[in-house]
Amino acid sequence: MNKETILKEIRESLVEMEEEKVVELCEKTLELNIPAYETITEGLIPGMDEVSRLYEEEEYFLPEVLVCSDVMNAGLDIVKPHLDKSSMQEPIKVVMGVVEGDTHDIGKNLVRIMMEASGMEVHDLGRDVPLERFIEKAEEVNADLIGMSTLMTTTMDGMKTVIDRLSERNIRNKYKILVGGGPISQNFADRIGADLYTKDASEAVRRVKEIFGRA
Amino acid sequence: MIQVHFINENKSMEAEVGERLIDCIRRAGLVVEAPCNCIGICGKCRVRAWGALSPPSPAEQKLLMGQDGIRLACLALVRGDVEIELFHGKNELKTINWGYTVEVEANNSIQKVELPKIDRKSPIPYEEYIGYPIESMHLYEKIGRMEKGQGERIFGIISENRLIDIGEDLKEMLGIAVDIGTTGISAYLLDLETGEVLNKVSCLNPQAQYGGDVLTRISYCKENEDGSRRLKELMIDCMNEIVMKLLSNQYHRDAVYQMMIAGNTTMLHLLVGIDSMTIAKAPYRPVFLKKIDIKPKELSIEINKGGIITLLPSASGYVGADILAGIAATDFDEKKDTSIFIDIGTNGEIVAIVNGRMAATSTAAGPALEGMNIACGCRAEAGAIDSFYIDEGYQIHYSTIGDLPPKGICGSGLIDIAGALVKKEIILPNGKFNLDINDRIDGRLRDKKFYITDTVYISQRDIRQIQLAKGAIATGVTMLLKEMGVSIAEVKEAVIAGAFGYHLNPDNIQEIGLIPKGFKGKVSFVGNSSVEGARLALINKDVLNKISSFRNKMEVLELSMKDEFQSCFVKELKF
Repeated sequence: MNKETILKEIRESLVEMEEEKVVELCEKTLELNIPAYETITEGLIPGMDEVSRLYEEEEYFLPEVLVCSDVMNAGLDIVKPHLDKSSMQEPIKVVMGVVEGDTHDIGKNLVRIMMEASGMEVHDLGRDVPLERFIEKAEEVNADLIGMSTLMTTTMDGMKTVIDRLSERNIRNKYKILVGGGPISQNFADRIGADLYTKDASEAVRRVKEIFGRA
Repeated sequence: MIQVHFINENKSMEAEVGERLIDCIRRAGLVVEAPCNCIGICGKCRVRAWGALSPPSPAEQKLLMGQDGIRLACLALVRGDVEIELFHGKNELKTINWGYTVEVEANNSIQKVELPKIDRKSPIPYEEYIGYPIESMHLYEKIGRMEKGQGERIFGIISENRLIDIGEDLKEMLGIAVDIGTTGISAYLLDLETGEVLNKVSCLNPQAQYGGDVLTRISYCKENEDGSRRLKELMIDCMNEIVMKLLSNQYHRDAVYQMMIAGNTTMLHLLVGIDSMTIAKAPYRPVFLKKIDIKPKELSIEINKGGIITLLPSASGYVGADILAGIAATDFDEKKDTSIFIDIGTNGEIVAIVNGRMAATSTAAGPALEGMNIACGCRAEAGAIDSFYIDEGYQIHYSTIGDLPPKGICGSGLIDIAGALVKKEIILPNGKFNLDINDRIDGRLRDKKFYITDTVYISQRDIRQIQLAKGAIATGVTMLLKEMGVSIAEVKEAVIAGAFGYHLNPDNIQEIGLIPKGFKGKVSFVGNSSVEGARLALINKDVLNKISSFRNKMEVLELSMKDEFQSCFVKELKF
């Protein structure tokens, strides 16, 4: 089996949620001395990109995305130990969480999964995150992007507070700000001065890659 | 200053450049419903508008889908003189003003007693031998009036040993039971001596124009300085109107001695004008949960001045008095078999009972099951598809409210449609449309939409919304039962409450998995058990005490904070 065929099969098997097959194929890439970097960037990640596309088109739903991401992680576990770190591009660093006052985090989790699947480094602060924590963590890890989510209209304003505090401290321009969640709209994002709003997780990943020139 | 003219109402007002249409409409005292509280996502505040307006933003264009002359009142800004035409749909709600309940005898804490006669030869004031302290001015006024007459027998109305009314001609003793729902309000007029229901009315919750669900309504209060006051005023006006309608010309408002009010925790806060912001943020803490007795004057509700307005107790910020009242009305707390009680709405509340132990939770189901956030969704109003099935030959059948041409799909219709599509495998268990079956259904599947008529359809996105809503409720049931150490297969009965639930088809509730798979018990519908619970609490003090005791007997779980919530939810998304 040549490299192109095996990477194509990894992509397709991932989309079809065939975990065992993906694991088997990843093991085979090692036998064939295919660099782990290529297996990840031309097999697993494009496979997950296809899953994102299917999700955006409403063909796939939450359960399928979660299963596919498990499949992807199973594949990553095989090849990652063999990864030559220097070959990897510096990943986009993301700090994200559900804003203070809200404990609903499934939407945020989905964004994290898709971002990780596309190779970003995600620092997930969880749910009901104190607003100051977003800034602290972003400063600490030298993040590129701060992502904030909420399901509840009553906690939306927390997002604005974070942006305002960043501006007050003259560090607003260090970060791109992504906002999302049930009650959030482009209109709201514009009003509070966020850089990016997307209606779902897969669009978020695509647009983030675009603004960092990684599309 | 610029002029805004309302065509149908023939009303004009002045406005400032940059004002939103919705603000002009509200300032003019007119009403346009804004279920999302004007954050520009629901697309329901449509008006026809001409003149100098801001051009529609891409977001607005998307929501309008290219309808000429139509604008969203919360997004369009006035730039100069404008004419506005408001659409007046029939603002009626098909709701049920009825509920199943157990029988209780009338045993109210409010009693009529005969008082001593006035000794007209004695210089001693009547109040000194009446036997009860006089606690309010209006009773002195009444005694003063009786002193002028020649009346013989004198009656008093007492409540827990307090005299609340006095007179020679006290005829009826009436009470009013109310359920304040987020969408609709139901009320009964009762004879407190016999427990008989004398009249019933229901109406839309007037606060709904400031937000379709509790969160958006709380947001409105947060964003507008006088928001809480405004919503309180609307509700108080509505309560007074309900009192008038219930009494019609037959009874006098002075004969109403008690109002027993049930509702979700937020509605009770908004009724009394209390800032309820903390309910809407983790850890979801209300200002009050206990039963509260209020003097009518404090709320400006016009019943007998000595009467009592009682807010029934709640169990938590999201398991409110409406649920506790429903539990009492159905004797759910007495169930010997393992049972669940589900109130289906924007928040799905669930109570489970196992061996006499009760636990409750609520889930953020969202408004999809009520027909909101659905492409062709609408309220249960004239023209809404309210039932639907597909026969063996794959022909579709449906009915609409008022037998009118179909204009949309309401909640019960939506669940029927989803149920039928799942049953006929037009939707696969993972929620996807099954294109292989399209030939058998006359090609109704087009562009990821299932067409019922040429214009009314259900989209793949709608199906996803239904999955999220029913998945949330099913997750609540599953996790609650797990917490109590039983499985769904052991549940003998599912009691479905809520005015909305009553219209649902029990088979389809199970077909779509709103009640988790594996349920083998019976489904019973109890209608608006909240207003029924308020009724029972009004006529029988033991029921009132029982409702107050539920809070200590019922554990309330906050599911969204549990780790296994997500994995459970994902499983329950399947049909």
